[in-house]
Amino acid sequence: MLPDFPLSRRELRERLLYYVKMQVQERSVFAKLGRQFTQHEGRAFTYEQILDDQERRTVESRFEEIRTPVEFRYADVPKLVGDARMEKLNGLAEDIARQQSALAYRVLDEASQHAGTAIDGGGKPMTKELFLKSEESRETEFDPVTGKVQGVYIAHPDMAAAMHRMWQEWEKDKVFMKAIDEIRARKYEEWRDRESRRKLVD
Amino acid sequence: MLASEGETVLYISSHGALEQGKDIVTLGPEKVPRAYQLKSGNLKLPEWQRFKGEIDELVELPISTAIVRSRQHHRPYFVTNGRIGETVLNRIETANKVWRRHNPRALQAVQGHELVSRFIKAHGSFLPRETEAFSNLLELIVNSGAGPFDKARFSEFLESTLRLSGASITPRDAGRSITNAVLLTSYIVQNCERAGNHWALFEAWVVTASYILAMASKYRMAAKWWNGSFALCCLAAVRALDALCQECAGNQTAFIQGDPLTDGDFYPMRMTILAGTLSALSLYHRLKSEKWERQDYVHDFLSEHIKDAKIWGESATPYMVAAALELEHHGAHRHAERLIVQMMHSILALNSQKGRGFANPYYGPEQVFRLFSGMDPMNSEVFIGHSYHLEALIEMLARRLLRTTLAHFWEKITRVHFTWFKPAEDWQWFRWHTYDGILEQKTPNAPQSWSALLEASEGGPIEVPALLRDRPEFAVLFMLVFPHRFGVGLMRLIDHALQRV
Repeated sequence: MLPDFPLSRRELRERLLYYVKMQVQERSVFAKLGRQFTQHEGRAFTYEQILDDQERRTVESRFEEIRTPVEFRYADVPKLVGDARMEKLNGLAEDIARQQSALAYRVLDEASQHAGTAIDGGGKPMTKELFLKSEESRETEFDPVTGKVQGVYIAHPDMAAAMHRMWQEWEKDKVFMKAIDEIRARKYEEWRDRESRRKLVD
Repeated sequence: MLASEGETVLYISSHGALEQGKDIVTLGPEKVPRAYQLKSGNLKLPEWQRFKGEIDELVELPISTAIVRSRQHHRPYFVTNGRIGETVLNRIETANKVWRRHNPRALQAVQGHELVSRFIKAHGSFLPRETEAFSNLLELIVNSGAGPFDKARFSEFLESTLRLSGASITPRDAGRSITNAVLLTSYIVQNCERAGNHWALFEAWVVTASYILAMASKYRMAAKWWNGSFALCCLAAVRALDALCQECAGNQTAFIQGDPLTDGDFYPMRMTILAGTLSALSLYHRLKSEKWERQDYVHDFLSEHIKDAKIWGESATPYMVAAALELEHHGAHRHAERLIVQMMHSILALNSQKGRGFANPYYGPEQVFRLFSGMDPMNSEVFIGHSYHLEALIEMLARRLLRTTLAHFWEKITRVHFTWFKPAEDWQWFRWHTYDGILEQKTPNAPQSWSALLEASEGGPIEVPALLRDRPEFAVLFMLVFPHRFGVGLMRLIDHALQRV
């Protein structure tokens, strides 16, 4: 064989793959927001979904493979160091993050369909009515100290920018804001009820 | 080795009442019982005189009918891994004439060099033939010594030796590969023996015992093919803990070990391991209804040193549980319950909020240390939001009617998912790692009925394999070595077995 340095190369490879992992987390909104879980054994997992009426649904799932093609040409390999290599790894991370997000959207969609919290906008732009409907349908969490609503909205960057502009207009609509406040007040009571159930009873 | 030479191992002494000078009892290929007394080192006249009483018993007293139903006289053997002096050999020859009145079969002496040649004869069939397995064997031998035993790597080696993943094999072949595994284990742990690393020896033998149960369960083997080897592994594990206990009792360094500059980080983990292993040994003897003279020492050790123990992660749970169960036996109920509550509190405090959380049971003490001190920089695993052991601890407290304590914690409990890996089949339980199974996560009830919790906690040892249900004393050792298999089922099994005792 040709002269080689397997020990150091193995270590370098581990570091580069770790970099990719971190980049994926940085780019995938779900990896960033969601709670991570590392499964050490088995190829399948179950979890419980608490539905609106406190019913439990056991969801069984298996791992899904994410593939992304990487091409190396002999001629390019000697130059694949420094920025050139980072560029390649960033592309790899971007592709994995995109696939992860697509998978997460699909799972989220299935879960919200089961919970009855899914609202289909039919591809039309967001309206006040649709927004109120979505606020009404979902379970809301509050910070126990400040009482502020917890959670985030996830949207495509274009949609997020549009929503931001719309919100500045909607905020001026007193009727709409009153409706929002009413929903929040109701949601706060529901949250308090849920929290007060976290106890040992007879 | 005896099994490989065609003998059936019937009894291995744990120094109980049946012993009468006999460490091992077998049935020879000619169906004549054989009794062995084992010693170590060179034997000269003073040693001979010291052991003479035991050797008289070995030769003269018949083997208990509880061990073997045979009217034939047994063949007595006196074995040492060292040399036997010329004077001693002469004494044996003379004594044989006297003993003939009780037993016509003369005492035979087996010395170290004969043992070596018998081992070498057995080598051909015992050593792995594949390059990878052989290289693993060598690496395991070289790398084991003073540190924690590499259970993951050793398990991989055993899986290849035992042919667990291959096609079905006959019970006789399975029995042979079990004998192989036991012999190879004894090679692998020789550096641990030399270093006096009793903890590593204990772990190694429990892993081998566990893989024997995996074989027995997978191939539905009759006990005669594996029970002797299993008993041998248990005995070796128990003897390692006995030696550890003895070392603790004679310790003059306040349990400090090695470089004082770095020992502070590891001392609390050492104390947890000692508290757990010594307690487990005491529980083992109690579950076997055996008298054990060091029970009071274990109690004194716990009373004095349990405060120095540290819960490094969920793999510490079985150690704390063993210590709590032992304290309970000595009437220290409040102390015992506090240990369990502290364990539960640690899990809840770290896993119900933000941060990295409390390491799961797949991380041993050293791995946890490396992870949280920046020595494992490329590991980004987080543990918050779930716990593998919380449910078992809750049930343990419920069985002790600690309703107020559980009520106090319930709000936090509801923020942590109960997690449990369920192996697909019973035999997979005994493997270090398996892909065949399902990881289950449950959300704690909110609200939770106390009476329902109490009723559930009194239930049977769900999902625990029959081979473990029938051996609660082994389960106590198993939970320390395989902390990722510890859960509701194993906890119920041990708790209920101790209640019966």
